[in-house]
Amino acid sequence: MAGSGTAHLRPAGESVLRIENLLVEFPVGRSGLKVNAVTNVSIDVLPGETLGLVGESGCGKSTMGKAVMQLVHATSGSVLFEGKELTTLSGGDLREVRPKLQMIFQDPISSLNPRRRVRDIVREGLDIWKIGDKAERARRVDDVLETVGIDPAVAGPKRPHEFSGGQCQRISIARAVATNPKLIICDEPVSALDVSVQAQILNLLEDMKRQYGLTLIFIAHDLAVVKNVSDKVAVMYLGKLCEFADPDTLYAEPAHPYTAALLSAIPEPDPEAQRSERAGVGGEIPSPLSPPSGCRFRTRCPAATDICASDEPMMREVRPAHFVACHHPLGDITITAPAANTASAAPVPGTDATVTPPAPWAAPEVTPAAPPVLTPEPTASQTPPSFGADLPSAVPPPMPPAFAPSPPPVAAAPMPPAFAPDPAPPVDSWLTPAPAPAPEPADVPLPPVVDWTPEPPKPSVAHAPEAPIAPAPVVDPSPPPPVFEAPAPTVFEVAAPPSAPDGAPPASEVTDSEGSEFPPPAPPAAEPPTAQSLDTLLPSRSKGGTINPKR
Amino acid sequence: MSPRRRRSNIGTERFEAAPLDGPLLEVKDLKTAFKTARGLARAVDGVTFSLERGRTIGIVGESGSGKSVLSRSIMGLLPRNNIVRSGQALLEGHDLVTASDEQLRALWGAQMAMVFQDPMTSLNPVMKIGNQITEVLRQHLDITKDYSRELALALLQSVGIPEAERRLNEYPHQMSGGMRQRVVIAIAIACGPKLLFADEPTTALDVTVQAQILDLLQEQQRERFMAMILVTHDLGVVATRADDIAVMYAGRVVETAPTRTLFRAMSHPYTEALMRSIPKLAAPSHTRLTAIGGRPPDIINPPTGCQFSPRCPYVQDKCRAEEPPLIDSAEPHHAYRCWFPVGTPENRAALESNQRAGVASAVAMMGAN
Amino acid sequence: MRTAFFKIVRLVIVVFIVTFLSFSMLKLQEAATGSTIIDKVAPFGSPAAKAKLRQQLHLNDPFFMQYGRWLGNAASGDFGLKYTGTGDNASIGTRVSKIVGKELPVSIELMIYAQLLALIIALPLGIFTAYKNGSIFDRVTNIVMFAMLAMPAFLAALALQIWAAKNPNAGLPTQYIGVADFPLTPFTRENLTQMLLPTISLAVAQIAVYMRLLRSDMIATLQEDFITTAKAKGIPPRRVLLRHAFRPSSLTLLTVAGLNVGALIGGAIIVEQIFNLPGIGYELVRSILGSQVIETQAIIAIIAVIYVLVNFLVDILYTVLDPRIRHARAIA
Repeated sequence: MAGSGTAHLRPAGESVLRIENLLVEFPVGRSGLKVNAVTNVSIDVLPGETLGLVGESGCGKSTMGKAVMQLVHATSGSVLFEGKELTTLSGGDLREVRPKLQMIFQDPISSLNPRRRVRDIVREGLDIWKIGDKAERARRVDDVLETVGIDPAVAGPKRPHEFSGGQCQRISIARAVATNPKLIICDEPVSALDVSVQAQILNLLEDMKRQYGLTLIFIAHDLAVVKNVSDKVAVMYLGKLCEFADPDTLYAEPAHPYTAALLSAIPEPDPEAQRSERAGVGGEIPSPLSPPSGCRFRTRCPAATDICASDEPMMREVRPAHFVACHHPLGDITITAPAANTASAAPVPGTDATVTPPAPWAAPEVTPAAPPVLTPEPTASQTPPSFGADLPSAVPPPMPPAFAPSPPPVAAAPMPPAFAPDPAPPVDSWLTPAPAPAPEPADVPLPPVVDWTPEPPKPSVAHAPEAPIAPAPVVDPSPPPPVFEAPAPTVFEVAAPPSAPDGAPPASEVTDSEGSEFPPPAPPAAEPPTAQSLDTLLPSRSKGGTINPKR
Repeated sequence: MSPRRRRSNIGTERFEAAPLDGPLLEVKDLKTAFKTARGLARAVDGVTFSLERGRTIGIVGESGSGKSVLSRSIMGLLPRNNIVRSGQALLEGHDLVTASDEQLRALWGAQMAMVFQDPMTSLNPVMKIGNQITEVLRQHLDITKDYSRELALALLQSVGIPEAERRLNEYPHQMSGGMRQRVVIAIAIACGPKLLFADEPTTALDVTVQAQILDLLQEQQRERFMAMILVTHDLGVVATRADDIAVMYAGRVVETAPTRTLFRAMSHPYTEALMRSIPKLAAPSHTRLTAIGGRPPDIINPPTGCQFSPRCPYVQDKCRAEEPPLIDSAEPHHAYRCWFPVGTPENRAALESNQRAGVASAVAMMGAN
Repeated sequence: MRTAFFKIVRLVIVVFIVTFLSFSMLKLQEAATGSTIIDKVAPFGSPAAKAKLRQQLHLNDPFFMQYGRWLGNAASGDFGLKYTGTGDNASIGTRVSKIVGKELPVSIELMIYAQLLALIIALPLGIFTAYKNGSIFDRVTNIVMFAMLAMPAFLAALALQIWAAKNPNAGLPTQYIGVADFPLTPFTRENLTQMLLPTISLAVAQIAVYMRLLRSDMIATLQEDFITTAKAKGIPPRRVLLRHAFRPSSLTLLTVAGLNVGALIGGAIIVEQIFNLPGIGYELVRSILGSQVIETQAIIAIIAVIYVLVNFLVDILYTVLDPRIRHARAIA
């Protein structure tokens, strides 16, 4: 992701708020280092629109909100609010704009002054900006309190701590709405609330928006919540904008691998749902102190290529009103909403090869011990991300080598090309960077497992080897730093090889929903389309496991 | 049918067939109350369930439902001086409620362990990661220091921590949240416990890391054949990871069922309401959510009758007067606490009469569905 | 490494400021009262003797030069003379460094004893009362500590002195008794007997301060999640308290123990007076009363530098105790 550019902005005259190339940096101590909280983000909001800003912690979404409010200083870039440039406004001029810009915070209780009465809190804005006379202000306060569902007569004289979180959030909304603002920035307004209360507040926000003709920026990490309230959704990652689109489009057909990963990571409250989340993205967010070059998501991206490290992708339109900053956007092939989309998890042959993460964990010393060498059990996070499967085959076959080259610490085992030569075991690099470091002879036994160690009811060959992958172009890649964090593939199954089911069905059938409640830990998100019997695959799998370390 | 599914079926069957004598954990009418200035706060009020070896039960509830207290109460981690406990929690037949501190200490870490919510605070900030792991190993296993370090290293690797060797000598603040939670898990599984409590293990983590941690927990659970109690507020988390689910409300289990049964045939109005109030990814943008009006009851002065009655769209006079027991449904292992379970004709009749009478929560349901 | 360098630079600067202030303070006083050092040191000296003394003290040099010279000498351990003559013999005297060299160890010994005693009593009490928070023992201890907190060192010293006088059987001297072995060798029986009462008087208030601080920090730490984690590992309470809870709880205590050196010095001056202990505090009072300006200057500067050094050490100890501080500083 990690894109700059302004292609997605609507015509300047139409928007209430238009942020262009916003850059916010925070110095870290005396080190001279800077946290790149927001880097060259451009975004705009039309009147009456709700813009959802999503991303994980550290993506800069909250900083964006604060920068709009001028609560943090923008290093560069512009924030145009109703045509007025806020970043250069002086204190006095800024004060005039303030009543039109309001903010609602995450922690409803601590964001209200504990010493003041509810009525005073709500009236404060009116007092400060001298809106109306005393009687009018009092009337206004009662009005807004009533609209948010708080009885002004009862609640007015009370103080915030006498209310629950949900009620405090209602009071916060009343406070924000009181000055008749144009734009309200909601910074994680429901993430501190229980689900049942969360629904109340979300509904309330929708009502208030309609009633007062508000424009909202809704910042949250919960994609489902954002989808529910937004007219436009912007996905951020590590201070950059990834994708910008209508929610229904974005959620149904994410074009950015990060968006796809986020979506697939959401646990859906539906046991029948295909376990798309198993396919989440590996690793964690890199430090904003030294973000990766080029596309900032490339270190975790299954589709990353050389260009991602060298060139920063710009926002571009992949379909009407759907913008993405990615060199290799997903899409074009039929993709449905991840929740519903069980069938489309079918892998596109070849794409898996693209996802080779560097394998910092491939070092042989890493091998933990395990019960006598059996079939290596693929750990979950090694599974191919489902969105990997969503990759259109049209996408330039992304380069395994890009990653692979980062040589495994094992001196003797140059693994990059190792993939190609060893076609039998999957080169599905998500599964195992290399054919999996084999269990070292058990000199470092795992801590005592339960003494009776029954056979875990676990399919051990969860991921059948792939069909040989399209030969990966051997490129000399500048390896991206192995920021990748992946679980050590070193956990081995205690179970005897399970009786192989009769013949591996084609991958397209992965959708069977009637399996057990215990889906295998590492289901192959991608099964080879080739019908290769499991029986034949099994041995090669375990062989791959044992042989590898000696290489 | 995919091979994956097929195989996991086989696994489940084998598992069920395994001749193990009795459930690993049996909780019988467990009550836990806190002494407060206003009176007894009944955080857990008569919870009964049992858990087989290697299975996962998901405990779902909102804040204040008693779900976290329940797990700590079973484990015996609550401070003894200001709580009142009754009932039984039998771990392989040994009652944890009446166990002495010494007895519990022998079980903690060794037979049962807990993964806490916030990895930022659940590791000792001034102790090296390695020492925090070897500590528990050496406490319960008679092993040398060197060997415990080897085990610690193997554990870190098995929970997917890269460069484990180096990490042993690091402090928690040098690691990311996801990595720390992996360490917490490594500590919890270190001595091969039979029972693992995971108390909101991913709530404090980012979405993408959440999935990784849940996968790791599940994988370790299978690997070691642990039973797991997965406490969460998120139905999504348990939907695909638990064998059985118990929904808690105001200290009681209001509905319990195997996961699929629960989602297919949820019978308690609270469970239904909880499901409806979650924004769904599949639903189009701006779908109106069915919020649950009102607030959870005061557990110090609970209402008479059904605890959910003040917020329930189907509430009838009987509900306000008499608390329903756990009633078995037609489905196996499915029970609920409701006089007018969702999906029955009585339930529909109740809703209609409430809508005619203008009960707010019932009227709100009219727009829904 | 860079931080360590900065820290030392800062230390040096502070030492400069502190010595400069203590040097100039007396100069200022001189300017204010109109009486010169010469008048004080040699009130009856002849003009010639005074001139000689003036020469010897370089009083004709500009102020900063005087300071520089003084500082340079002080750095090499020469603080000038304590003048003993009053008339024409004005320029003879004893080396201040010699006096201080004998007396400083006594004071330091006293302070270390007091600090140790305070910690030895306060730490276990603090940990235990925190563990048994709310118990009878906790409440009683707290009341006693409150009382001790309210008792200044001189009151404790006088009370102990009276008690020792009334109970001669206890064998504790009410006054310092000169012995050949001077300064006293630490931890000998004689030394301990001599130092016991002064130490207790000085420690009383500190015990209460330390104990209450540690107790409240421990109580907060014991609520932390990682303590529950440790408990859930099956670690015995004793180890949970000592290995897990104590270290994170000791930071405030450490800070206060460092800052308290100031209070200890103040207390030591009084306690030394009461028990006639030939320490630096005792000497300081005598030098002030005797208008030994140069000696006073020296002692104040030494005390100030000791104070700064102790707090510098405390600062370093932080990083040992809390790796988070260590790493945060490494970044900054």
